[in-house]
Amino acid sequence: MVEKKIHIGDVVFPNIPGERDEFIRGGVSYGDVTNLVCRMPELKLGEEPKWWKIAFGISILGVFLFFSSVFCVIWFGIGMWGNNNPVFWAWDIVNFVFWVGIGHAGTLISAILFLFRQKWRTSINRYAEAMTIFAVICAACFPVFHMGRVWTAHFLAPIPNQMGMWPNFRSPLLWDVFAVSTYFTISLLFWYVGLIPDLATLRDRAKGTLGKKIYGFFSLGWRGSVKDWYIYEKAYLFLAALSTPLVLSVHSVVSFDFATSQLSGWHTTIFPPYFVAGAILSGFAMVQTLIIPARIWLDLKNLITIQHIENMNKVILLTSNMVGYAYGIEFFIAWYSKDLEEFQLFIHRATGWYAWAYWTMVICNVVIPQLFWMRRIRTSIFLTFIMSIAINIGMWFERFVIIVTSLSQGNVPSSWSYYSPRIWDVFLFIGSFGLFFFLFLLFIRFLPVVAMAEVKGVMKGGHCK
Amino acid sequence: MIMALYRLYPPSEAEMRIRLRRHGRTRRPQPYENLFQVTPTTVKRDSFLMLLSMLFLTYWIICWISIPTRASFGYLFAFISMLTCVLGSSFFVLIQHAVRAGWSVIARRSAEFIMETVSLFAILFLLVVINMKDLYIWTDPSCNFELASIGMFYLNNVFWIIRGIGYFLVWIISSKYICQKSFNQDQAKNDSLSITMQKASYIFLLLYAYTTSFASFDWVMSLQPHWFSSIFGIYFFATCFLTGLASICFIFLLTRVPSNTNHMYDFGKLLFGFTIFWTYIAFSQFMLIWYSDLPEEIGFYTTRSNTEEWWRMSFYLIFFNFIVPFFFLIRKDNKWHYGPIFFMSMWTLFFQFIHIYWLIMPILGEEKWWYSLDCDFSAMMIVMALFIRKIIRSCRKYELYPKNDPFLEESLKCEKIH
Repeated sequence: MVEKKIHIGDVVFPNIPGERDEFIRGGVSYGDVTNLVCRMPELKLGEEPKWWKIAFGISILGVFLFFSSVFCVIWFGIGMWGNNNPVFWAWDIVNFVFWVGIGHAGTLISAILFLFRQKWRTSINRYAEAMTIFAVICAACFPVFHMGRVWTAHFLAPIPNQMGMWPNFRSPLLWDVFAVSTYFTISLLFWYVGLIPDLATLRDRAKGTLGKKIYGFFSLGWRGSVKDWYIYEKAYLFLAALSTPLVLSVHSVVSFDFATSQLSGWHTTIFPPYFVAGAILSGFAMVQTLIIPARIWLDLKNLITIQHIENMNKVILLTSNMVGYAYGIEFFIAWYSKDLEEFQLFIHRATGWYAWAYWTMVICNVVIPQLFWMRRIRTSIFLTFIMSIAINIGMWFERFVIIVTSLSQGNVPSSWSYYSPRIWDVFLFIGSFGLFFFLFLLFIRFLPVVAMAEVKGVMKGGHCK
Repeated sequence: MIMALYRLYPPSEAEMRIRLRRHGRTRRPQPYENLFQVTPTTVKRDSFLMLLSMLFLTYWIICWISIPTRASFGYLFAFISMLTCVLGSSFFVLIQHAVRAGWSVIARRSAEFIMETVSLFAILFLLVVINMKDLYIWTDPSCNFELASIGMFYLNNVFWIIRGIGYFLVWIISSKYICQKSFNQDQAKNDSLSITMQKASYIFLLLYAYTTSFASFDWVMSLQPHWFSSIFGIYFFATCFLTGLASICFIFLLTRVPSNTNHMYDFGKLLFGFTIFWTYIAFSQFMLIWYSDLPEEIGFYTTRSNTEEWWRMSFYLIFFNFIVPFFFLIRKDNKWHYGPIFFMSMWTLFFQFIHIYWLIMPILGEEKWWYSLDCDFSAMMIVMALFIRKIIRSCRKYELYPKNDPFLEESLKCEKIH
């Protein structure tokens, strides 16, 4: 019955003032929502659809690539990478910032949009939060392996020891450790608390004993009583309030890694908000990249409709303009400041060795998203998909431009050096995608990708309507 | 002056009904619109505000003759302070249109009244232009710049004035366009106007973002021409939005348009959120400059901390602009009532003005901040009296809430979830 109405989610409705569109379309009932979302987790092992098997196979290869590169890097040292003098930070930190940035959309959707009473978030928040957690896992790997001696990683934590050795609390790199780990913890808790009612649904529907046991264990004895819901909603609100400042703080602290230095191109005061805007842009682009195929393959078109995609495209347009503003102001202030070194660096960025990277960044992050001014493009699924990939590429290049150009063409021309990556840099980066997709596909396979309980709350007759 | 505005508006219809019920009367209250008709008393208040403004102008001119630089700075402070309210309200109105917000429709007209006063500021800007030689040291051609060519291209008198005119053109055109469309909607129910306003708001938002930033560079940052900070535009925007929100709450509550406590709760949350945002931006700028300790940047903070009085004021700013509002607004009951929100909006306005004072005044290089406060006070009274007079006139001329807005019903039912 549901299959017949499946394409209603793609219909674009006109903008009528005073009217709000339905978030869930196609006359889908409460039961249909549960059936649609639980279809994948309830499949028997080995019965997965073909696309999932192929994707999972490729991602396992990626994971293999990741761990073999990690092994090489640990065994032979980070000399395997293309980093040189003066480009001490290169792909490792670029990838770290890239992945952390992607991890921003999840918490933004689930926490900030929740506080703003944006009900459309319910269809996509679970998906985005899962993406956040896996992206932060990928991000955390890079600085750890960049240390070279991974076995001393625990030195990052302020563990009391008999030698009286403490990490340098004045270093932004240490603040990063705290910021990212706090963000990861709160995001994980937030994601898990949201999952509890849905895990209980899966437990109640599970046919096998193992499924019943595992889902039962993780649903923490949820019975759906008024008291359960009362405590749940309180906890959810608190976690949302806790995560909201974290969305801003994490990437601000990441930006401090650069901005607290005295290096031209790194030290500028706009970095914290600029990094946050960029992170939200890349995060939303990644959500689009992942959600567009998923809604087709998982038959979720009526739950994740064209309206959700359009709304996300609007956020992309907004943050892309913020990023564009930051690019412009950075350039302007470099000129206005009458600081020759700073201005020269920006000239180098736009015309020097890495001009190709700079213009890729500008075109992908600022120029291409301007197409979203047109509603026809905002509501085109195919174009959104293509553009979201372009933005992902652009955002990666943004970090590359910031980190590598400032180092390679610094203030002293005698120490200039061109940086190019080696194969191990590339392997590790591709491998991190493998790790990300591996975790993500497992999530799609075993957990409900849409927050069923929350979606039901905003449907017609729901308690939040 | 506040009391004058307060007494101007009789209680709202809903409030009247409650009062009548309480007093056991059965007479129906007057229709809502009639309560705001022009009466001899309101006209008298109008002229009173004009007179007040003129009196203080006379006083300020006397100050200006004796200490021109001090008086000019006082005027710039008053001008920028009140302008931030206008820009903040404009941002508020445009954002509400852009995101098709429902909850705020009932309060939007108050914001539009404030937004509309921007034309008044275009006239008030003339006094800044007249005094620019006293305000900005870069107007002096002998001023030694490291790179005279860049300085002379951007910071030169003619280009600076042209830019100022440009900003005001953008602001006046956009505010007239948006407000007029909104006022027209009161005449007859026309939903297509909402779509027009929504579409226009996207473009105007973009223009406002850039013009506000550059205005802050031109009018505030260039007071110290050797100092620069790329976050300054956002810093100024945060101040604008905060004062804008506070002034909207202030006017909204005084006009006594029927609202419920959930509107207050939403305003409270926004005030809370933007207090934190302002702190975040201010802290980011301070932290990065302090940490790097570069001689070309640190000047901003050394100017504001090298005498004990200014240092103390810098410290108090953290307390009054962040700690007090944070702990006050974090409480649910404080956000849910009219009184605390009214109090907090006054508080935010006052202390954000002090913050703007802190941005502008230390450039004079005086040891203590309380010398010649009468210049600032008189300048503030000139601008504020004219500003309130214009709002009162708009209140009388137009409806106090967008009565034909398609989202009005949704706004009246403003829900409470968390």
